[in-house]
This record gives sequence, structure tokens and C-alpha cells, in this order.
Amino acid sequence: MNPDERDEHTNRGPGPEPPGPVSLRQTGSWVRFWDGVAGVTITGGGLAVLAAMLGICVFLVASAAPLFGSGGAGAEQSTIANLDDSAPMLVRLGVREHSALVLEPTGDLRELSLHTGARLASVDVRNEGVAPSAASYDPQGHTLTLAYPDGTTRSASIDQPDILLDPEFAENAWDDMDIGDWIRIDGSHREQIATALRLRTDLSDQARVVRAGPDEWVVEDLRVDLTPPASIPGLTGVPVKVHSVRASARLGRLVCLTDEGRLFYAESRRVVRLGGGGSSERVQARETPLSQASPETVGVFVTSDGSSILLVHADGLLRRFDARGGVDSEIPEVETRRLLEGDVRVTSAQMALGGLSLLVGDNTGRVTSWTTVSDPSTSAIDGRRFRRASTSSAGGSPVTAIGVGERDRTIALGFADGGIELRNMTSGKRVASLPATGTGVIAVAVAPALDRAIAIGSDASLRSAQIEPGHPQAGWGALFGRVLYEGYDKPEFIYQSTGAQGAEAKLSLTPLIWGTLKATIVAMLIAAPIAVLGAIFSSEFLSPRVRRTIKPTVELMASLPSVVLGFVAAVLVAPYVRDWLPTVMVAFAVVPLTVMGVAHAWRLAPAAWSRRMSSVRLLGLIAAVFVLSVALSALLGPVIERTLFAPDRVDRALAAGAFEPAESAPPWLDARTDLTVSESRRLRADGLAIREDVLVRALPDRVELGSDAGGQASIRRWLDGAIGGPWPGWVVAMILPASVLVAFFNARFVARRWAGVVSAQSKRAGAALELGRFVVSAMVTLVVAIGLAWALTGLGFDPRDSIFGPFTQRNTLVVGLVMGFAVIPIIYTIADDAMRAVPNSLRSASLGAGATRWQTAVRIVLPVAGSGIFSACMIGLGRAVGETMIVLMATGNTPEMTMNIFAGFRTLAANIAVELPEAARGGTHYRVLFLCGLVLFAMTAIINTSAELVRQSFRKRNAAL
Amino acid sequence: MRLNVLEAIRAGRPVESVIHPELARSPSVLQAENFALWYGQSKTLHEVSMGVPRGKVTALIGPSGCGKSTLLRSINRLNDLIDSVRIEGDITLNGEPVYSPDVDVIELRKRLGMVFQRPNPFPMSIYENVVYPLRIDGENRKPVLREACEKALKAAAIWDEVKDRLSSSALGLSGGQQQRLCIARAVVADPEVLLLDEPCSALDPIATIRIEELIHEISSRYTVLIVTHNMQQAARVSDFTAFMYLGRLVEYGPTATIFQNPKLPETEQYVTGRFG
Ligand SMILES: Nc1ncnc2c1ncn2[C@@H]1O[C@H](COP(=O)(O)OP(=O)(O)OP(=O)(O)O)[C@@H](O)[C@H]1O
Ligand SMILES: [Mg+2]
Repeated sequence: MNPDERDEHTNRGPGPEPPGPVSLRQTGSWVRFWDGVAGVTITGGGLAVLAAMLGICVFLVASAAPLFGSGGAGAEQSTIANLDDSAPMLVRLGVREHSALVLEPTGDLRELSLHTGARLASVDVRNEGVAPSAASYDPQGHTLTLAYPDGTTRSASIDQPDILLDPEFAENAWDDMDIGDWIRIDGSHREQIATALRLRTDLSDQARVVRAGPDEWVVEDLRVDLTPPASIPGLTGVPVKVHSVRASARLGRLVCLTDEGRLFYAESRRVVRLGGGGSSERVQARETPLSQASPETVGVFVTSDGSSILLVHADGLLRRFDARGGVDSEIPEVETRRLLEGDVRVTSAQMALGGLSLLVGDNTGRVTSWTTVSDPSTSAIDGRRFRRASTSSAGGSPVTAIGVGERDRTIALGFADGGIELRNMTSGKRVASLPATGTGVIAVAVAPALDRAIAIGSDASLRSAQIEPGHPQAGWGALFGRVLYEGYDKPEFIYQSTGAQGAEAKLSLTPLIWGTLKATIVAMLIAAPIAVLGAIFSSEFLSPRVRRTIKPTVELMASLPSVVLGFVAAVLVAPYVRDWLPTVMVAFAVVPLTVMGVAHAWRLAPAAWSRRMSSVRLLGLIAAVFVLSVALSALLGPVIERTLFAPDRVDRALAAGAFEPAESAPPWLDARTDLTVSESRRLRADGLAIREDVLVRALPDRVELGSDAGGQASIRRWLDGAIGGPWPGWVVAMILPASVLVAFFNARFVARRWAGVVSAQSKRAGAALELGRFVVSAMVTLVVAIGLAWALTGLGFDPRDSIFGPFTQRNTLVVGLVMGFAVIPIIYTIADDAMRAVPNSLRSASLGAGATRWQTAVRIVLPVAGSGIFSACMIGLGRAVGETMIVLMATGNTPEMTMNIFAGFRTLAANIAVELPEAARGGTHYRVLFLCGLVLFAMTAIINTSAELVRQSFRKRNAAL
Repeated sequence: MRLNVLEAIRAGRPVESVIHPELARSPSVLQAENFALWYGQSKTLHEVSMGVPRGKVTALIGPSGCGKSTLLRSINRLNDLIDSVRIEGDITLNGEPVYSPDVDVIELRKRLGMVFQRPNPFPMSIYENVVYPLRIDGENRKPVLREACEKALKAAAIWDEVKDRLSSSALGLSGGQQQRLCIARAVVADPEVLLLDEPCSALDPIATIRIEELIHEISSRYTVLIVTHNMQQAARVSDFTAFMYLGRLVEYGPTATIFQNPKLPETEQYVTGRFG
């Protein structure tokens, strides 16, 4: 700071203009020309920038907007299907989507043309002349499982190969065919095609050639590979009424309901005979007694994980059986509940893709999806409960058919009035709908790509329509809200764009927004105080000469490529923080305390010392103090870890085996033995634990004091919840709030009286008193923190459920530190400039009135420079929000939504960077990434606008300066 | 032949300041003893020795750049803040050396009120401006502050103009009002000496006259050291006048004598405007 006279002279406002000679000279034409050029360039440049911004915004909006729109239905055709019976057991779309695959009750699997309804192929799937009584199809394995009235079962793998023919070859043979025509491949052709394609053995007698376009001939086939019949034990000769199957590669799960109302669960394993001879099916079954006569059954299902068997009745009753034990144990009925209110009836039921949730259509035209969730409060012995995941709005006409899509959770619904609707059960979005025709729909199916839907009406009409699916999985709810996904226990915010085939897409951006905010806030909490204090120090306390060298150095830091910082974070900082965790955590308290303590002690030093303190020496001293404080942290860290984060008496007793069965359990436990980490922590706090499924009480008195049972003290183990109680963590977490509290109390109630006491003393004595007060305040802070920790622990809170938690190496703290480092230079330079811009006359006035430099800085400079400092922070915030490389490299990029500062996260920016290369152009995922960009854009726009507003108001206040 | 003093100064030769005997008779609050000051390599004050009589108004005159402001700022050690400044000699306030190592600069400045060439109110309310020196002392009691504020504003002859708008921003005042506000701020903490550096240079004649009246009025309570370029002003308000030239004190005596009958003809030429 340098309030010299010259500055005051230059600050002397706009003085009177020197009275120049009055000139009537014309402005030169060159001058005017350049003036014009400059004007046009500047205006044009400004407009171009605006236009570019607007263009980017429009582009982002245009790219993301289709996510929120719905699809639509296109060209439609209808024909009469060549069916023997109007009630097919199963309908699917053919591979090339110009045919339908229909299983007739007569045991005939047919392929019908969507254009003409004509029969393209037909395969007999009867068992020794007996038609199947039940069938179910698994789209993932392309297997059809059939049950026959005699209690046998067969499965058929269905293959629909399509082979493009060489046009030159095909032109010779079938040039006279019309487009869309087909011709069965008979003997002579078969030869020709076989020679052309060397496919002879693979083509069945159902093979045909279809002219798909002017130069496009395709060989199509329907190959059905039926396994030999296997009989379900106990079911021999019993007609099966309803039947369902879930098959994986190794294990098939069947559930059959016989005409007489008996329920069988069977598991079939494919056994490959040693020494060749093919494979055979080994089926084991178990009958489950049905307690009451079941009313009319709409469907019976087994979940794909084999945990539950579901029986859906027409009156809306659901019965759930616990099949976790498989065929080897009892399959008890665990839950009976009504799915629908009032006298609404179930008209149709299906398992959704993935085989975990149940879709139920009712006679009001509504479809609900249901899934089992675990719920500690339920009385069901498997601790699970059937829960509604989503509901569509009622359409009026009863749902008569449900067809499950194979790509995502989009389903096709057929209604009694002939209407067809495509709906996505995750997002709840109505994808497309086809108008009612008047004849009820018996069966619907939707193509895997969701671009075509077919329906068979009660009058044997075969209706097919092109669909423009749009983005079924996206929608406001799915993108920003909580959704109850399959396999989860409650609605959650989850982002998981790419999962296993058939897995439910989880596209909630909320975890990404959360990650962005979390990274930004932590980084700003670290960066803003350091940068602003640094700017105050350099602008108000350093000599201009030193500042002139420091400032460019710091600015140089800002130009460090963030990828380098990310690299440093991942390779250097993250392992360091992992290895020195106690030191790092302790340093957050020790470094500021040491610096402040030394500052107080400094006032005790002889005045001559401080007079000899040049800026350079001062910097050296500060650096030395900093190094000292870090060293102190390194010393203190392990000590604190050993004392606070050690296994407590309960841990040691449990580890040493000193426990006895507990006589009473806490009420919330309700006899469960599989606990989450947080639940077992809660138990341990009461001195309890589960050992081998038994609740036990630890007996700490039986363990000698010096015993090292329970292992080493370790913050990491404490964070993981393996040892220790909540309070040491609370002490650490409460230091900051406690110090704020104490500082506030000091300023509010002590400061004035204290000033009187100090001013009555000599200078040295006053300084000593101040040092004493500081030490006492620090102690009081510690005591307050311990008190708060004790209270929070008493209330049953554990910091490991919120701000702390299991440690991952690439965590929020690391990112905060490194990203803080990245934004400090920007905040620092802008804040420093803002403070330097405060007129020196104000500093002179303040100092001349007897204020210290610190008082001048805080009372005069900071308020005047406030707007500049604020915008410095905002610009830093904007940088942190959009920062990509550091978070990309220094976090695990796991889209978690926890407060835990030792957990990873994923930001919007990192998400775009990670996933854009793998997103298919124009697809839902691709557009979701654009939406991420738009949200990011909006966030920065909000930050900058609010920053600008605040700045404006500041500026108005200081306008007269 | 007689213009030799200024020529000698210009030539860099040492000259004796002419100090009138009247000054020796009045007790001085401030006393500079061979005070010299360098900005880096350039010596700006050359062994200035002068006393400022207690309870009187002393004017410092001299051509621009002669070191008047520098001298003023040396008294409350605002020059300390400039890195390149080096001093020799000493200044005493009530006999206590200002530049002694164990002097508390902050305390020192609290005993000296300073008003600058250009009005520099803080961007806060009028009230907060006036009580600022008390606030930084840790005084927070409302009644005390209010009373001190009123007293200072009355002393600075601005109370009637601002008493209804104490909580509005000081930046909304006119230049003359702002300068009087700064004077109020300078006197609120009851300083021993008031240092005024061309307090009227930015003001119109009427405001100037008001400030002059004000100086006259407060001179009964404070010792005032005022820098001015305006000879009439010096003549009107001051009891003693010091004439400086290129960092040297040339002549120093009672104002009447300096203006009517100076010992050096150079002084006479300067005060009558025949100099330049
Ligand atoms: N911060 C500084 N660094 C270097 N030289 C300075 C500084 N401040 C003033 N000077 C120089 O010291 C000399 C005296 O300046 P000073 O401001 O004291 O003059 P002054 O008598 O107050 O002039 P004026 O009547 O114009 O205000 C001038 O030559 C000036 O250039
Ligand atoms: Mg000056």
C-alpha cells in the first residue's frame, strides 16, 4: 500500500479541461474513414459474439428438446390374418418387421405377412401330436418354452436368419418378382442358392426369397430347434393352464398353474452327456400348496432372479411366493395384496423386460408396474414387499393385451376398443398411440427397435403401424426426478447411461448436477478464502515491488493446463492424501491456528524486529510458518489418529470374542441379521453386534486394557465403519462451526470490554493479553466442538452417514484441493486488481485517522472492492463449474449422490467428456449429453447473471467514488 | 546580489533558515530538528528545523513541489508507507520523538488529525464517516458515538446542513461539504494537532471562506498546521507563516511580519506574487 502524494494528484478527478484554441477545422476524411471502420468492426464483432452465444444456446436447446417431446405413429396397414383360431397364444414381430410370428392354439407356429396376412412359414411345435397348453417367450434368449397337457415341457430356440443375396445372381432367377413378393425356395432354387451361398444344410424347408427392393433379394427362414420333451415330475398327465418361464443360459425357471389350481415351480438344467450324444434337460419341480381356492388367474410368473413367484388374479389380488430356496426347499406364500383399488379388475399381466417387474393392465385402461423392494418393516419373511413403481393415466377402455419391448422399458398396450398405445414405464411417457378401431385387441407386439407395432384383433385382423418412437426413456421425471428402478428399494436419483443389455436406462441428471455442485462448493470453500486473503495481503500489506513479482507468478499458475493439474491430482495428490490422511485432515485446523498463533506472538516481538521486516522477509517468515505448521500437522496427525480413531472397547471386545448373546434387541432391528454398515455401526454404539446371525452384547470388561485386539487405529477403517463410534468424527467436523461460533461470540460480546482492558495496558502487555485470549479461544473452540460432537452422538447421528463415509482414493477432497489450486489464481488476480483500484486517498484517510492496515483493509478497502472481489469469486465459481479435466482425472467418475467428502462423483462436464465418444449420434444418450451441456450452460449463466446483478448494485453504491 | 538565498538553494548550497525570534517565545507542540527526507535518491526535505506553536495556526507556503505535503505527512508518518522513503533527524510531538523505534505509529496518528488536499470521505453514511476514528478504537456505544458525531459536525460547521441526513451517503455531499465532513472526521477524536493540506484547493470561494472561518474558530481549541497556496488565505487565517523553497525552510515568523515586513526580500517577492 502506498498512499503517496502523486497518486492523490492523479486521482484528482476530471479537472477543468485546458482551454485549447477553438478550432473550426474539418475532421480529416481519413480520420473519419478509420473512425467508421473501427465503429463497424467493433459493432460487428460484438454482434458476432452475441450471435455465436445465441447460436450455441439455440443449438443446445434444439439438440436436447426432442428428449421431452413424444414420438408418433406413421403409416398403418391392416389385413386379415390367416389364422385357424382367432386367439393366438403368442405374437411377435419377425426379424425384418414385415411379418408376424404367431403361435396358434393348435400348436402351429406361423409367420404371417403383414401386407397380405398370408402364411409365409409354418412350423409344428406339437409334442407327439398334442398341442401345447401354455407357452411363454423369453425375448432375451429367443426361446419359446412350451408346456403340454401331459406334463411335459419343451423349449424351442427360434432363429430367423435373413441373408442378403448377390443382386446379380438374384436378378437372373427372380427378376420377374414384384417388390414385396416372396417365393418359397423349392428344390431347384435351393441348389442354386446353396451353391451361391454355401448354405444348403442351414436352410429349412420354410426358407423363402423375398424381393425387398429393386435390387434387393433376401433369403428368409424360420428355424425352430425343439428340445426333446422333458417331463415335469409330479405334473405328468396334468393339464397346465397358465405357465411362465424365465430362462438363463444355465438355468430355466418354470412355473405352471394347472387347471385344477395346483402351482408347480420347476427348474430345468441342461445336462450335457459326457462322450457326446447331445444334451438333455433335467427338470426338478416342487409343488406349492395354494392355501385358498384361487379366483380366476390372469397370469403366473417367476422373476428372472428366481426370488419370487407371482400369481395375479383377475380381481386384483396378487400372491407372492418366496422361491429363493429354489426347488430344494419350501416355497411359502409370503405376501398377498391387492394391486388395484375398488372393483377394478386386472385384464392383462406381463413381466417387463428384465423379468423383475410386473406390468398389470386393468379394465380402466390403466397399466401399473410393480416390483419387489426390501423393506425392513414388512412382515413377509423374506423382508421384501411388492411396491408400485409407476402408474399410467387411465385410458377408459380396458387393457386387453400387453406386449413387452426388447430395447427398454417401452411396452405396447392393446385396448378393448381396438386402440394401441406405446408407453415407457420408466419415464411414464406415452410414446405413440394408434386410434381405436372398435374391435378389441387380443395380442400386441412391438419391434425391438420400437419402430413398428402389430396387433391382432378379435376378428383376426392383423394391424401394423410404423412408429416414430422418439426418446421413450427421457422425460422430465426420468431426467431430473426420482424413479423407482427395478432392483432398487425406493425411488432414487440414478445416472447409469450404459448398462447390460436389457437393463433399465437410468438417466437422472440430478447426480451429475449434485456432483458438479459438490466439486464446486468444496473447491470454492478451499479456494475463495485463500485467494481473497492472499489478495488482501498482497494488495494491502506487500510493498509494490514485491507485489510486482508475485502477481505475475500467480497469474502464471492460472495458465497451467488443467490436464496437468488433473494428472498431478490423480498421480500425486490422491495417493498422498490416502497415505497421509490424518495429516491432511489435521492440517485443516492446525495450519490456520498456527499461522494465527504466530501472528499473535509476533506482536510480542520487539518493535525493532517488525520495523526491520521488509516485504520479502515477511514472505519468508510466512513461508517458514507455513512449513512449520505442516510439519506440526504431520506430527499431530498420527497422534490424533491413534487416540481418536482407535478401536473402542466394544470393538476390542468383539474382536477378542468377549461377548454373550444379547437379551434384548433394539426395536428398529426387528430380528433381521443382515445389516447395512450404518445399521451395524448403530448397533455397535449400543455395545451390540451380530455374530453368526445372533445378536450379541460385547463384554468390554473381559478384555485387558493393553490388548491389541480389534487391530490398529486407522482413520480409513473408521471411515469404512469398521471401528469406533461417531464422536471423534463429529469433533473433526465440528471444529469449523465451533470456531465460527466462538469468533461470533467474541465479536459480539467480548470485543468491546476487551478493547478497554487491552488499551489500559502497555503495548507489550496488551499483545500478551491478546495472545492469551487467542489461546483461550482456541481451547474454547475445541471444547465447544467436543460438546457439539457429544450432543450429536447422543442424538444418534453419525458423521459417516453424511459428510464422511468410506474412503476412495480419488475423492472429493482431492478434487477440491486441486481444483481450488486451479481457481485460486483467477480469484486472486481479479480480487487484487479490484482492491488496487480503490483510491489511495481513502487508504490515506483511514490510516491518517489512526486505523491499522488491517482495519483499513477490512473497513474501507473490502467494502469498496466488494463487487470486484465478488465477481472474482463468481468467475472462479464459473471456472470450477465447467472444469472438466481435473474432475475427469482425479475422481472415479462415479455418479454418486452422497455428501461424503471421501467419495467420488461425476460432474456434468466430465460426463460429457467421458460419454460423448460412445454415444450414438442422434440417440437418446447423445441428446442427454447435450442436455447435460445445456444444464451446465444454464448453471454458468445463472451464476454469471447473479454475479452481474450483485456487481451492478455494488457499483451503484460506489458510483460517486 | 540580494537574491542569493534562492540561488544558493538552487545551487544546492546550505543556507540558514531565517527564524523570527517571536517563535522562540511561544511553546511549540511540534518541533522538527534537522529533519531531512529522501524519496529514493532524491532529497526532498533538507534539514528542516521548525517548531509549531501550541494553540496557533501556522501556515506553510511555498511553490509547488517544495515539500510542504511531504513535511506534513512526515509528521504523522504517513510517509512510512512508501518503501523508498528514508529520513534523518527527528520530529517531536510534545517532546516525544515521533520517529523513535518504540513509538506506536497508530497511537501517534490518532493524536494528529489530518485533512487532505482533496476531500476523501469514505463511501459510507455521513454518520459513519464522522465516527470512523472512534469505531476503529473499538468504541461501539451508540450514545457516545452520536454525541461525538454531533460535536464534531458542529465544530466543522456542517451540522445544520446534514443533521437530517446523517444516514445518507457522504458521497452525496457537495465538495465543500465533503471537505468540512473530513474536517469533522479529523477532529472527532480530539487530536492535539490538526494537519490541513490545502484544504480549500478544490473548493469555490464561498466554501473556502466557510472553511477559513472554521479554521479560525477551531484554532482556539487545536493547534493547526495548514498548507496553502493562497497568500491571502495564509494571511487571513494564520498566526505564523513558514516559507519553504525546494525542501528548505527559508523564512518563518509571525504572519503579519512575513507578509508586511519579511527579513528576506525573496520572501517578500514570493508573498507579493513577484516570484516564479
Ligand atoms: N511518493 C513519492 N515518491 C517520489 N517522489 C515524491 C513522492 N511524493 C512527492 N515526491 C516529490 O517530492 C517533492 C515534494 O512533493 P510535495 O508533494 O511534498 O510538494 P508540495 O509542496 O506539497 O507541492 P504542491 O504544492 O504542489 O502540493 C516533489 O518534487 C515530488 O515530486
Ligand atoms: Mg502538496
